[in-house]
Amino acid sequence: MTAPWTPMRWPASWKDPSALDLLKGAAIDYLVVDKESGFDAVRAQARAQGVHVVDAGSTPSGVTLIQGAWPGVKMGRAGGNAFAGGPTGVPWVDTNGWQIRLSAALHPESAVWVDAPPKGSQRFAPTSYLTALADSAAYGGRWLISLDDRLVSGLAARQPDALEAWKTITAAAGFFSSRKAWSEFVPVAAVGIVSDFAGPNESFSRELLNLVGRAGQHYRVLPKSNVAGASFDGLRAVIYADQAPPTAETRKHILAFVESGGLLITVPAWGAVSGAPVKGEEHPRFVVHAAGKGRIAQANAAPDDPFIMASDAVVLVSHRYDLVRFWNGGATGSYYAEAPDRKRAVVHLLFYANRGPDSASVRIAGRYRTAKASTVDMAEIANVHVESHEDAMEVHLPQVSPYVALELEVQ
Amino acid sequence: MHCNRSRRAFLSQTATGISGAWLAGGSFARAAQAPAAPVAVSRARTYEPNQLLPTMQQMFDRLGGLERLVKGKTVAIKINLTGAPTYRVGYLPLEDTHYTHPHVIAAAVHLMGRAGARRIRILESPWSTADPVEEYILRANWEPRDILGAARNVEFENTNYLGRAKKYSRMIVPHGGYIFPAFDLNHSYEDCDVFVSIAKMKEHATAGITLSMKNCFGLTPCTVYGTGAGADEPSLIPKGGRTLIHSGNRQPSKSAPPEKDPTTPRQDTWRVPRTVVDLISARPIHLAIVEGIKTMTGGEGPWIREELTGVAPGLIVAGTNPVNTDAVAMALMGFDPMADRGTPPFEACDSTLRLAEDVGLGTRDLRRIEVIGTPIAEAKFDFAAIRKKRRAVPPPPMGIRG
Repeated sequence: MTAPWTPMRWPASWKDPSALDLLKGAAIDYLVVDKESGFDAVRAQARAQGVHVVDAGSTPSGVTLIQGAWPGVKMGRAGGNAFAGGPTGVPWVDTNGWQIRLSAALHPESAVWVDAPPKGSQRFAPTSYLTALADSAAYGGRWLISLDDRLVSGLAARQPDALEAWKTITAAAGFFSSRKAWSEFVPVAAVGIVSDFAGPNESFSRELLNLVGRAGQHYRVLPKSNVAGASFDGLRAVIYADQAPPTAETRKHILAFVESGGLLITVPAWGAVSGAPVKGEEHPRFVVHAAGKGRIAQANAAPDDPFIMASDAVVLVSHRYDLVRFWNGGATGSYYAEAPDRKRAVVHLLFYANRGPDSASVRIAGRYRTAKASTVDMAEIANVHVESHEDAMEVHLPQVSPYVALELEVQ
Repeated sequence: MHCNRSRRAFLSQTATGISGAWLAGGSFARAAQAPAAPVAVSRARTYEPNQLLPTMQQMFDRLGGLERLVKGKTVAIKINLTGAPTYRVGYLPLEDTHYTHPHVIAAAVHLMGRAGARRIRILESPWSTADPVEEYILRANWEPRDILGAARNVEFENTNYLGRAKKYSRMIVPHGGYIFPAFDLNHSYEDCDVFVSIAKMKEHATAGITLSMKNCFGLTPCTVYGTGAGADEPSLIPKGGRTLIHSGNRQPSKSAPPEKDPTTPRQDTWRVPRTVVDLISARPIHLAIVEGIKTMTGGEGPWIREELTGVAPGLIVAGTNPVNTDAVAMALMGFDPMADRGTPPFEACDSTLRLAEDVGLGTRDLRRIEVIGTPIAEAKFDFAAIRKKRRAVPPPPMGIRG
């Protein structure tokens, strides 16, 4: 996927082009500006500064705009500090990562922008903006920078706290803009999710992406239309949960993966599975069959809850093959990608609480020679302790911001 | 010292039941008569198997030998994996602070297998999940094969829900129960001949200390006794913790026996110690092992708002009576096992040991307990002094953890 621009929605109250001074030195290079004529001067001045402009409501060529959610820990309706619980009672996290991954898989030639403006009249902390930027950029997309009303008026008045928040936003935007090579990196994954992600499968398959990711499983999106050309490299398992059986061609490719040692997690719609059930692999909702060197785990009934399907899939694959494990991270997310030459990798670590955790540890599967941890305002975090394990490395982080990039070099 | 007691005597020393005559006596009289059995204490500086195995073997031999207890039997071992595996005290591995160390579990399994156990089930009710225990411990960076391969016929079972059975096992509290007259538990707690509790030596925010008895609080399935338990029937999967036992804000699923008296105090410091005694009465412990080779001070897990520190007392304790064993472990921690509410570590709670003693499960009086191996005075690691010093200053601010 590509990420050539850093976009921003121009505030409706900033009709004076002098506000464009804020962009000087910043990585923001694409403005989404209201169509009305009151912004003509802004548009002209922006273009003069080398900044691209597009009318609000339009999307530039080469960009897919997705409607996202403000990322972070979802608060309860009661407000205050009450978290909304997810299906397991742990805090629920809104993230746009899965949508970006899906869009990139379906439209690999396009950049992905995420439209998820801050809503409500509350004050949004600078770290919330950092999370919004990082939650998109970590997965290869770009958040359409959108400022809340208080920040807009504060910046117009050049208030110190507003300028401090702006500094955080531009630092984050600059950090990701200067690392364009990462957009060429390919996801490291344990499981592939095959679907057309549309029609009767749209809701279930998309929620499956979201929930498999929330469960900490690293996945690769495999559009059904192109399974033949897709890479199964490094995958432990493939999930096929669509309501209709696959085409003969799709089936052939998935079965080849299974025959060579992979695991297929599927539903009754896949069709009859031959092969004896595997002894010792009893499961309350699946029957596991041997197939060549691999296995097929077929659900006893069509699943109606993507949460249970995602949870089952993670266990069927096994936490043994976790690519990333966190400790003391709070509500976390991660995206692990490697360079095409496989000599370098980056693991984006997202901590969705507004304050980064203390004494967080992360274990990354793989054999690496070096690890460098950075944040958007720190080129290299000091006091990072790295332990080498047999097939993994464990990194102990000091108190960090909500986003950390771990850059790794292979042995 | 090697005791050549018969298997019958060995088992009779465990709290397998209480007669009506016993209960008819007064509290002090019962305490004076409560069973007393030897408790073995050993120093163990590391978790290295080549040191741990002979140490534990020697301890069990001193207690009369494992063969008498487990040969040809199904053994159930309740381990302690409190809290989610994503919590650590600082950067320390979970097993060095608040989880029973896998090497201790594997050593016990190995020795039991060698002593002729027919089947060994490792039991735990992991936090808020019906996932297999093997999957849970992988997230703690453990390798389940190290335990599964330590003997023949070893298996894990998640007891936080129905598990592999078709129905829950109704386990009756012989003395009638402080709070619960009976419990509905995972079948594994009934389908065993020998029940073992392997605990970590720790303080506990609610119960003062957590040793072999308190470890059994986790016998209760959260599908029946948890936050997400069904109102009428157990839920299919556990969700959340055991708030209803802690706070008494609701009753278990109606399919299970309710509390005897819902007008009793709704305070966790009153309820948790009593529930623990009810549980170990319903599911008696035949072998109690408390490992404190490495552990933590300040509480039972990383979520406790105290100054938490990883420590290495280098201790392991075992006995056939859990009250006796916990009494010795308390003394090794620098606490007085005769302490009651108002005295450390029971400043704000009732003593599980006293409550257990009161119903005749075992004595906590060190004068009546034979300590075999390292004397208490030589092995003591002073949790009590650390606690006093720690509590003299305000608790530290908490960070954000998983």
